[in-house]
Amino acid sequence: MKRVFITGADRGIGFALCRCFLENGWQVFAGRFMKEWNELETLKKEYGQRLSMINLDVGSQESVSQAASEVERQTDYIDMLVNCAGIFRNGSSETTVNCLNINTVGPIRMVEAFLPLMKQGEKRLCFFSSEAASITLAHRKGDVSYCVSKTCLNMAVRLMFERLKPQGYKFRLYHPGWVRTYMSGQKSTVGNFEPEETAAVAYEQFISDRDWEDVLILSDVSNEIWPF
Amino acid sequence: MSRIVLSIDNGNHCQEEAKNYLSSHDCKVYTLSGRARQPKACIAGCPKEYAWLEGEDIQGLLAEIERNEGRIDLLLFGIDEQIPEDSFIGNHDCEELLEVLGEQINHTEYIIEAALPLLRKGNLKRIGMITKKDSSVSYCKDDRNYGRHMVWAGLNMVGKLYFNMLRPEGFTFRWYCAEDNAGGMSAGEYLLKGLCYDPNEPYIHSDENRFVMRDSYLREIPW
Repeated sequence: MKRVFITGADRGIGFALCRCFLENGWQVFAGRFMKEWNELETLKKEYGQRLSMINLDVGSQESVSQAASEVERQTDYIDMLVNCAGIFRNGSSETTVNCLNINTVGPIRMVEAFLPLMKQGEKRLCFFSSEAASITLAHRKGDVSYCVSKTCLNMAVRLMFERLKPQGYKFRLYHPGWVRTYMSGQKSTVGNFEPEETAAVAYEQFISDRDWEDVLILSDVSNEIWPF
Repeated sequence: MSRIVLSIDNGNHCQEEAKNYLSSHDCKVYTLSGRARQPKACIAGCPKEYAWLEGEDIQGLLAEIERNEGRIDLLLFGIDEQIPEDSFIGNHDCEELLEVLGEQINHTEYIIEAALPLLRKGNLKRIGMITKKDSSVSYCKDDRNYGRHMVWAGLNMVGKLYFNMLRPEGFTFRWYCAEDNAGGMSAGEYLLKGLCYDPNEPYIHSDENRFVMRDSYLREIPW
């Protein structure tokens, strides 16, 4: 049975991805940030041992290290790490640091902590980026905190890619589209997609092989490519 | 008429050369040193050299420029090449990375916001950045120095967002990739050059309406 760790699994796209992987027979380790949110409990009743809930705050080095230790107690390796946790905040120097901490440095913390668990298996590293990260096509006239955090994430993934690709790792950098998510705190009423719709596309991109794994691309919910 | 330049220095060698060029081409260059720990001597033609100053002191410098000149024509940044080197994936102090990112992005945004009122009174209304090809997510082939690369890429996005905000007001942008031992057009000259623009033509027909990064041979580097 293949094994995946998904961050930001409490709700929204992360939760929808958990369901997707479980429906397809995977063992899922779900990074849980909000103990008071009980959707994962519902999934646990349905899938039992195939779902492990792991307490995780990607903004805390201590929490990330503890999560990696907990997963190591439960399994020898994982095949895939999906970095889905993210926030959308703007308006001050503090929000910029918060966005950078969760959206940019969070995935770096996760990869560094989980790499020792990925030396066997599928060796797949997946990241949720955004159209907001594309300098070429950015149309926004603000949202500096969020846009910069996602551009910096793209650069971090580039550096990982150059290092880890020769070791057999495969990378997926995904723009989920405009989704009705909880990224601003409560579920958005506007957007083009439900979390389940974009999660289904993400799942297919994450598990599928490409003939050109030596190219790093930002791909979207329509399976189209975005420039950086 | 003299151009008034405010240069925010971070120990970037090419920026020093650009300042020399500007100073010898009818520009009056005010300099704000990026880092107190790297004090730099005042170059010829610069009216004043400032140590790295926080908050109100930056406002103090801007107030002085306003008293002396009434405007800024070009706000010039250079990427910080002195950001401490770091290793490849698996070996980071993530809190240090976060500190570097937050400091550099926030400082740059703060200075742009603070300088905007004087830039709006300027004749060029121009923001420039001396950067490197390694700031490009597409182009970079490095596998380490996360702090540097992420800051540099993040500053490119800061530039794009301000381009989107300010281009409709007539602001112009110059992103120049410095290379060691390169020929071609110097940073200083590119910073002052006009790019084709005709307000009567369709928007996409003017190079000034595009946010691009170019090397000394004016080849565009993908973001």
